Amino acid sequence: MNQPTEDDDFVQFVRARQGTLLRAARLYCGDPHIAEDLLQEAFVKLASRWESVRDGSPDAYVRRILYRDSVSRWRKWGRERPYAAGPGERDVFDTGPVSSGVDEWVAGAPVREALAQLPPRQRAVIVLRYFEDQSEAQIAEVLGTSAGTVKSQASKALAHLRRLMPEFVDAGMAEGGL
Amino acid sequence: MGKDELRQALNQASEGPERDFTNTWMQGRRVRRRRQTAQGLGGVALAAAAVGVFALGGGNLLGEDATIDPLPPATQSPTEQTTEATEPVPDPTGEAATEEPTGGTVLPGPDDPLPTTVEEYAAVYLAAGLAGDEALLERMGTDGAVEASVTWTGLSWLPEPQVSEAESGEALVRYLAEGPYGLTLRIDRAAAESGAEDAVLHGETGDATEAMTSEEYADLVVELFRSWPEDYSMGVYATERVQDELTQVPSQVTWERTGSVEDGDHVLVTYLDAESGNELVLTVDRALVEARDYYAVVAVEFTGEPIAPSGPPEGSVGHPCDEPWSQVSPAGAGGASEEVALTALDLIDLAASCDIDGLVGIAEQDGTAFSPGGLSPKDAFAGEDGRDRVAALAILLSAYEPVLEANDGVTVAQWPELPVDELDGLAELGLYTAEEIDAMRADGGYTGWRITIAEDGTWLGLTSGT
Repeated sequence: MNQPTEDDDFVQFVRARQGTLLRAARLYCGDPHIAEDLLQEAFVKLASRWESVRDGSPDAYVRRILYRDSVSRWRKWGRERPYAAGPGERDVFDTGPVSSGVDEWVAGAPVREALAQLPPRQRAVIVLRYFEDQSEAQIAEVLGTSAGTVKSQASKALAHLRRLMPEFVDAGMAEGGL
Repeated sequence: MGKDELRQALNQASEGPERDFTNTWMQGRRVRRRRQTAQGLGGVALAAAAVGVFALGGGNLLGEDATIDPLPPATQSPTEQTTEATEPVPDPTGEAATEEPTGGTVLPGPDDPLPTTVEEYAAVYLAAGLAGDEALLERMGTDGAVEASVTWTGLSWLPEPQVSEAESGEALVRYLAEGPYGLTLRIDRAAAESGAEDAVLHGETGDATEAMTSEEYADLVVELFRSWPEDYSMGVYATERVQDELTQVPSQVTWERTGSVEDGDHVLVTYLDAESGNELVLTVDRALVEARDYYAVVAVEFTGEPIAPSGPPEGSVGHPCDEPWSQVSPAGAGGASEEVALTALDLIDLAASCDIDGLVGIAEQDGTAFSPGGLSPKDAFAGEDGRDRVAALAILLSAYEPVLEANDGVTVAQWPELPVDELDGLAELGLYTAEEIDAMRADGGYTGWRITIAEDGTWLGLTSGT
């Protein structure tokens, strides 16, 4: 009875990529709930343009939406963005910890805090390069900028991160950039 | 410690519960339909730009020769970079940004007056965005404009924008990037010319059309017309009126361009279908084409035998679940809100193509009531009764305009509301037999399927009975 649709391809893509993209979104915004909202909105936008994007690079499309929308939120909220508690963390309105069995989330809090102190473009460069293993050219495409700017932003971001979490970024890495 | 450690740390920091987003398909399709409708209704070039930020597949994102650029990376020693990297946000004063990125435009300080021409206002706003001068951006643009600036501050823009007038005293200032991008700043002319704040009402990057002649633009519309409306691409090149009038024009024929003639600000491009002798003339707005803008085909004239208009299906039309209906549209909104009209459009689209999943999805989302009471959306659209409901949606929405009823302060649009003397028309639609109509007449009025949509667009119900 149903008409053939293109949703099978879309669903297949989402199913394959949602895990990694959600994790990247968490790194972009530092908040698990906002990350889910961001990714949901990105997939809705992708679905609305599926015909024109499906044969190109839907992955790059979603990454770029995630970046743009996370920056948009950052601009709106700045550093005073509301911070919803994740599993195992204390909510500002709560006296007790949020119930959780996800130790990794708690252990990752310092890294997320460090990322949150980077300007959004620098943060995106770090996430795209070291979490998503994107090339300079791919990062430039996502950010809508040049490879030179990507290098410059990466260098600044790594230098900044080295100050914030020296245990993860050594001096050579900060100086050498990507 | 190095890259591997950083990767590991990021991996750990990104951990969290899994989520399933595969249900976003239907939401996206609704967005798509609304966008199509908006593009058809609005007739504003920016409607396309607002949703089309991304051009994938090798576009030149940052032209090397562009003369108005984002804040360039400074060439510094590693030591200097370390120092600068401690500043996580752009310099809010803009002092550091009054050099190259502004393309020579001098940015006013916090106490300096703002420009007093549209052209200068746009140039300073653009330069402020590229220089990362948030304070100046916020001074010159509305909140929405400033928020949207994130879409263009990373690109390089060519100077000498095109300026045109829009409705309601607004000016449109159109910039082009060397890549596939366009930027239209919508500016309140009176506010800008008085040097007031917040004169930039909107500005978001979008796809620009390719550079074309007026004839090529018209050719593109004719080419896309063949696959329209299934492929909505043509909708961004032709105005709503043109799209409406094209519904009367045969699309599956070979339209050969036979000539073009300039007519003031327009170019009239003529096409001929040699087989039928039908002729089609598209009127193209030259300024919009030169600005690489959308909706440049502003009028159409067709000479020949029009195709059958869309409208209420005849009784002989088959069930949409056996053969999808094409060219079916709502009879009208009857003064209902735009949200009601959009939901009606969604429902008739889905019903006409027997998209059960789509209908169930909207019903589940909106909490739609079915009769008999308590029926779930999935059950409502299952089996033969489901086919009846699909047909009722398609037929009633295409045949009747709604009646608006206020109930506890909420206005509800209802399809149909038929007096006794109009019940006979139902037989022609094939939804009810003559016997069923007689029974309704005996009951004193229409007791068949009713569709109700709240003024906010929520699909309230598909019920039958008194």
